[in-house]
Amino acid sequence: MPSGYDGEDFVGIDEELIEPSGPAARFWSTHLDNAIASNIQNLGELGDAVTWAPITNHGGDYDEKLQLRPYASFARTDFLVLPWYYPQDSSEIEVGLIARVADETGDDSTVRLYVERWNAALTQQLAQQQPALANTEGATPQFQDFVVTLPFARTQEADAVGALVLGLVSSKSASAIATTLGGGELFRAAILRADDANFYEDTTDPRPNSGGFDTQASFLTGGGVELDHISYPNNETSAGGADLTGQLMGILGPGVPVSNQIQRFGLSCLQLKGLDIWQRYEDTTRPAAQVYAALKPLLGEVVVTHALRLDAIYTRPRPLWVGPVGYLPNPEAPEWPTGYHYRFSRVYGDDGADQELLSASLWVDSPSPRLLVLAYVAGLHLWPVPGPEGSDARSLTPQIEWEHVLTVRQLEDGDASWAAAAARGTSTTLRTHAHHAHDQASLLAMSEAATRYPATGGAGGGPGEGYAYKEGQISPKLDYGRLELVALVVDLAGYDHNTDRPLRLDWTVRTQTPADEDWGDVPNTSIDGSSVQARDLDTLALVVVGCTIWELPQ
Amino acid sequence: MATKRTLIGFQFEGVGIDAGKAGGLCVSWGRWSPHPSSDLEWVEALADLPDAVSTEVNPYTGDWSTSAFSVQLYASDRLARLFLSDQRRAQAALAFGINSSTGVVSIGDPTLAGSVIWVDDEAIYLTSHSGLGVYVCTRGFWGSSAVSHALGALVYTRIPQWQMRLVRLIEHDVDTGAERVRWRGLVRDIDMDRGMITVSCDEYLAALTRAEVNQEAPDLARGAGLAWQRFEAATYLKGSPLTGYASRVRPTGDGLFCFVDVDGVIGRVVQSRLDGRAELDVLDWIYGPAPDVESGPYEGSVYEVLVVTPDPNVTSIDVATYPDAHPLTVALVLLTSSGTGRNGTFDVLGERWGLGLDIVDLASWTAEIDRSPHLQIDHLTLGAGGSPVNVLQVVQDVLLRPFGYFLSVTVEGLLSLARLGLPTLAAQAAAGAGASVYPDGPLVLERALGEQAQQISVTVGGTPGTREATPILIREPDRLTRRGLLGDVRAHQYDLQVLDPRRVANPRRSGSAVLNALASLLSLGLDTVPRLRVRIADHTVTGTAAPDLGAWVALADLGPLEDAWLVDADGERVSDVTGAAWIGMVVGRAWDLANHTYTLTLLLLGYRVGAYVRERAPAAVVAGWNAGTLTATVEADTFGGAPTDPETFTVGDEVTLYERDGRLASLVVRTVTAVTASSITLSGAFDTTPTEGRVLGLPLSNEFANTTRYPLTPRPYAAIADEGEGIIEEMDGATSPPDIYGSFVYGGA
Repeated sequence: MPSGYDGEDFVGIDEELIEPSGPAARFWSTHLDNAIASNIQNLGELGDAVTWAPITNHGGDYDEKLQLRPYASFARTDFLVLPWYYPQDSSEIEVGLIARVADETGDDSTVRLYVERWNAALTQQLAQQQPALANTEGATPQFQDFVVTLPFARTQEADAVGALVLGLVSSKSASAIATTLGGGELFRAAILRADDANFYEDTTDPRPNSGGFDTQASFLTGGGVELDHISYPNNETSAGGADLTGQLMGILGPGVPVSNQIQRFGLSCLQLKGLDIWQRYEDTTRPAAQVYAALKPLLGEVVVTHALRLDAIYTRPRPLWVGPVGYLPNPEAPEWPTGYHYRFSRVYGDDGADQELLSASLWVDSPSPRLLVLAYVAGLHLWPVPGPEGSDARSLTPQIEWEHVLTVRQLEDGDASWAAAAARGTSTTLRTHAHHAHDQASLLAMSEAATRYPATGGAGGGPGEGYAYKEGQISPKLDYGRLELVALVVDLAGYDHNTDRPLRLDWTVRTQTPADEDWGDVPNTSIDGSSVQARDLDTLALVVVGCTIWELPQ
Repeated sequence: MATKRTLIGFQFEGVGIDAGKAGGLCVSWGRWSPHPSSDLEWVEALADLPDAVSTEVNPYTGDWSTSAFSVQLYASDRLARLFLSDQRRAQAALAFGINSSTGVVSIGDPTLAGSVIWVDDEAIYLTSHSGLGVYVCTRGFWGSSAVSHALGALVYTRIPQWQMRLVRLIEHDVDTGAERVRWRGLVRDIDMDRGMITVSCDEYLAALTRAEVNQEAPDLARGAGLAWQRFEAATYLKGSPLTGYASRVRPTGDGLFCFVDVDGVIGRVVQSRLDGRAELDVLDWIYGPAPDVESGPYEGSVYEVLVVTPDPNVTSIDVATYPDAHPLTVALVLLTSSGTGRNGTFDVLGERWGLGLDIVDLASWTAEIDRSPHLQIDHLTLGAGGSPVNVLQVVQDVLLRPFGYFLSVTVEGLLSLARLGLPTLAAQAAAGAGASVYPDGPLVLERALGEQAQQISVTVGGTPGTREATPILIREPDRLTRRGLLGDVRAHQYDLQVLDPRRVANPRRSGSAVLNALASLLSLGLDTVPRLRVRIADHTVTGTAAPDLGAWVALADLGPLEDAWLVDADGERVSDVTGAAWIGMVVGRAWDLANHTYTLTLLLLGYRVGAYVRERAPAAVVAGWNAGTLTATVEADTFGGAPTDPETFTVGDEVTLYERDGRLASLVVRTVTAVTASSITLSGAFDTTPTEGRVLGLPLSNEFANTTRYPLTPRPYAAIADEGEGIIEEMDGATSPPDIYGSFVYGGA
């Protein structure tokens, strides 16, 4: 079958092939049926695309690298864990990255990228690709396109929700940067305090740079121990006082007694300007060629499949938005270094006010659609704030109810701001979230604790020194179990898709005042030297790790 | 009227007296002498002749009925000895196995030259002795079928058994020698009362209604020491080597590759990858999630099952050249498989998994597969839990009826099929000019009000090991206020277990297609389709089709008959029954043996719409143009394949030239003067060169007329006309109603 009738091209069909002319009539031909079928196949296989670009604090070109968060880790971490709607007939995902692969130590090393499909519960991996992304520091511009295609083992037979995961593993620099610690020490102890030199390398040289500990890892001489660096709040008397104001740098996981020297090595890193996700389909519904052959009895049930197939394509769920895209620090949080953004969205418990969890601008092109918001949300109880040896009461998980409100607004002529825009749809959902107790082995818990309790001053930190290493990355091994898939819908009844004006979706939450039993057995204690108590609402964090918004045409 | 002189007789498979008549014994009724060419031994011994051979089918339900006979013979000395005895003890055994074409047999006994022996159901004539008990022989003697026989098969020198022996009703034209089988049955019992022998017979198809396969299925778990094993995320059921077990479903080539039912979950058995031994190692769980079990002994049962899916890696059926998951392929496999692989293309299953029928009209089935290659089932599982399978019930209710097909019996008693639908132009052509109605026979128009269906009730899915069944109810709009008086709503019930429930559960895609097809079925039964009962001479049926059940029959004008009591769909009395409204699908047929007439019941499926379903118009993509010969070479299979695209044009067709997007490339209309498999020759050139990629197609309907394809219809193709305008149609001398697509939304499933 030549091009044009096999779905490879879309060829507009002229009315002269169809239009009757008075008492004379145009015959319904195999040419017409095949052209329609092929166009529908082309449309169907074309699929849907959506883009994601993290917020940055600069508008630089594709060579501009500074102040754009570098992702690096020697152990596998994931920087994008998205709930994804895999509709019937979807056959592969194509991910295109605009990325810079660099190694600040000067090696021309690569980053191993992981593009994976998981089931919704993140318990089973269903497809994966692991390309090595070449170093781009010598390229012009330094940000280059990388395209990774993730085919499914079998074309999707029925709609399913799952996960789309992007992760990475960095390469280790050829030679050590420095010796960190002497032999015989308990390596789990803090390596640096926030006010130590080089803790935040960008005080003199914005990251990524060769001295940044967040793009380094520690290795035991002779092998056997390979550990990524994290930052975490200091509540240890021995390390600077339990005032929650300091911050320490150490390694993730339990302590490791070592006898050999520990050395620091540089890691290759990945910086993303953005990516696009293209959901592609296989046409499994195109009838055999013989069905549209000439001289066949022209049965309605056969030809009406054109309309059915087209309708099936039109009514597919379409991805509209991927997030979170991150946000810049509040001016009232001077501890977060200027020029850097937070990657995940989060709120802390508050039963007195609605708090914005996410906001998204959307272009919707079907009348009165339903919007589906899918999100992986982690409920955390940031208590007790652990030190390297931590505290002992960490097995309890408060069950707290939150109110989720989705509001979709649309600007009209005369509206001066979004606040004045008319609401096209709203929905309210009450949902109880488990707030996982702290765990020092969890990258998510540790980085969220460091974000919640940054170095604000005192012995361990100061303004601009509250940067949390690896915020925006999670560890697949332990953190998947903390993610909860949340699905919220809002119907846009009466939405006129011809208005050609964008919509804005706001997702706000409010903590419902918990009853005593909601806290379980969490004792309402405090840490010496701190006014924070365990049952304070703002010890509860709701973190959006990944979110997608879908248009479901009705 | 021509005189027809015939003999009617019953022939019994593998039964004869005179070895000089290879066709065997035929006990007859009639005073004529047979034509010398007949190889049957005609013995005038029938005491009476049956009145008629009747066959009926209800295409909506698939139910059918056929005649059964009791044949009464005069008990002459030789017939009594023949019919009232059988040989219970074998006289010898085959010294080597033979296939269906082997011309020698070895039975040890050297004294049987010139006699007939029986091996299994086959009669074999021993022509001459070659020494050492080896004979040159004639296979398939006395009307039996030559089949393969294994070494050691028992040899009888008289008929070993009568029960289930095939009986044929033969019509023999004494003037021409032509013989036709008019009925087929199986011997059920024989008794004698004084001077009469009564042979009770079942009609062949009726005898099969109780036939079951997969009887006494072995439990593979017994003695196998099965245990669950979990490895990472996978679940295995492993056991000791199954020594001596070979797949019963797939008899050859695959070792132990088969599918099993483990507590309702279907798994695939593979050979041990370690040592290749036949080990029960259920590795792949085909349907649904793997059983969520802990490691440990398995206490349940495991049965081999037949699994069919479109996935070539997950199916028990492998038929050369035909799609394995086509419902008709599966039906043929179940009907014809004998375990030997020698009963035709579809004989692919093991011995206990097919009926081994050799009376299937394969041509009609395969032609329908070729017409509808896109049909396929999503999944079918048979034999779950070791249960026997009633093949005819599965074929009829699960594989045929949901797709609009129904079993048919040809006039020769072969098992055929037909499809419910509106009359097409091809049907019209096949029906021919029309049969004359017998003046003294019935002319009955039955409104069939009692058959009006108000709803279709469907169960989708539910095959063992798959997802739960999804019920669907499709109802007609209420038009009857006194429905309660009918006692209940008349419903057509369909078993769509072969479809994946997700097709229906997900309304965004093919579920809609399923519902659309079901609604079409309901539409066919919704507007009660009247029936016309007429009698015609059995040699006056014209056209290519005999009045097989499901065939289309047209009637000649009634002529002097009083036909004004017939009323058309508009409520008008008619005097003409030659239009599309009166072509009928044969759903009942009684052949009168004495008078040689058919009394036919015709389902007037075109009665409501009064039109034939027209066809899709041809087109061909130009590959090159020879201005000298006015010949366009065209792509052969862009729009079809068989016949090739150019061959869908007919000499005499007017054509014009289109761009690929459908714009007219030329307003000039030319005529096709010749077609080949790859070219079309025209009467002249266009004013635009037919360059590569342009498309040859038909012009407007007022410029097109060609009766070559269908003599009664110059414009056989569906067209898009303005409402109320209609297309110019010369068939009936007037402008036909608009042939807008959508007028013919009815059809098969």
